[in-house]
Amino acid sequence: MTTTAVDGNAAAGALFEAYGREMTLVVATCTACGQAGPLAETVAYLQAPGVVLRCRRCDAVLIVVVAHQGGTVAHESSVRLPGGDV
Amino acid sequence: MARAAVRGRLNWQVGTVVDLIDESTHVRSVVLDLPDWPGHRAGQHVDVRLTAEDGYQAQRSYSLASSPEDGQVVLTVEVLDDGEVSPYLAGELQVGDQLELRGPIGGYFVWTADLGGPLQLFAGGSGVVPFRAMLRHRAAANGGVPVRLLYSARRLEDVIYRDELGRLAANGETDIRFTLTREWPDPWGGYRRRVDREMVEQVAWSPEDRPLVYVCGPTGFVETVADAMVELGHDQAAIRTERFGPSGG
Repeated sequence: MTTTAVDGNAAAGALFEAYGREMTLVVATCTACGQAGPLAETVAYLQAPGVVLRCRRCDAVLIVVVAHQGGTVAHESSVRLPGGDV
Repeated sequence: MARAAVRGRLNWQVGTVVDLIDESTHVRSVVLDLPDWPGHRAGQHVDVRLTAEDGYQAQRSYSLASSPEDGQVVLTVEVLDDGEVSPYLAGELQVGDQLELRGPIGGYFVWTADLGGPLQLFAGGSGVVPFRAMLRHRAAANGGVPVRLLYSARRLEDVIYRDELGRLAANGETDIRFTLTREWPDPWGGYRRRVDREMVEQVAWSPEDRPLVYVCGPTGFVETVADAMVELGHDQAAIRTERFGPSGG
């Protein structure tokens, strides 16, 4: 079950930990194919040690959220997030 | 008005199980007392964390089945055959036990009465759970918008909240329809197959009605419905989706 693909809604808690705020409504742009949409609609794989969010259109890795000992960190890959407050 | 916090920390808190309700043979609702619960919006979920004696932790997300007005936190859990968390929550957990959870979480798959309608809901299996919260919230907000719910389940025995849905359907402007995909009783007036575009077209508001659309269930179900709604002319931005994997939550 831990490798089942769900969507970004299931990553909401991890994203909150990493970014300090609710992120599922944030519109993310895949820099590999240009697809843009809320993070809630990305493909999410929930597996230790982290959560992987992939572009629903081209499967590029957008964000990997990992819980380190010092805190939860979002490693951004092929993604562009809006700057400033959303 | 203060909403559920959108800034700051998302803290783990401990709740005590105060009641357990068998919704079906494989589904159980867990009623929790959470002293620090800040309130929530219909559609939000919580993350539940279980810690084994050896320190191993497993975490899963569960939609809140209770409405903000209910005054108690209710989760509805379906037992998955290969589940790590669900067999414990839906089987071994006892009244008086404690659970570690964080929430409420989610800002995307949320409906509040002030958003208006009409409401178009599509539930696949345990995808109906957040819609119970939405329908209860709608009732507490004194009805208001018209709502249509299509609920897909394998068999009639797998349909949860049946009595409550029946009561809600008796209110004005509430249309609840079912499709059973594996077995159905005789007689049966509902649909008898997996959801498809034709079924979506029959139950859906027209695009001119500009419904707020929520689709929740296994990925295949959600994709079929969302694609059909877009093909029928509905605005993609008005369709909110929540997928929880191939065959269950």
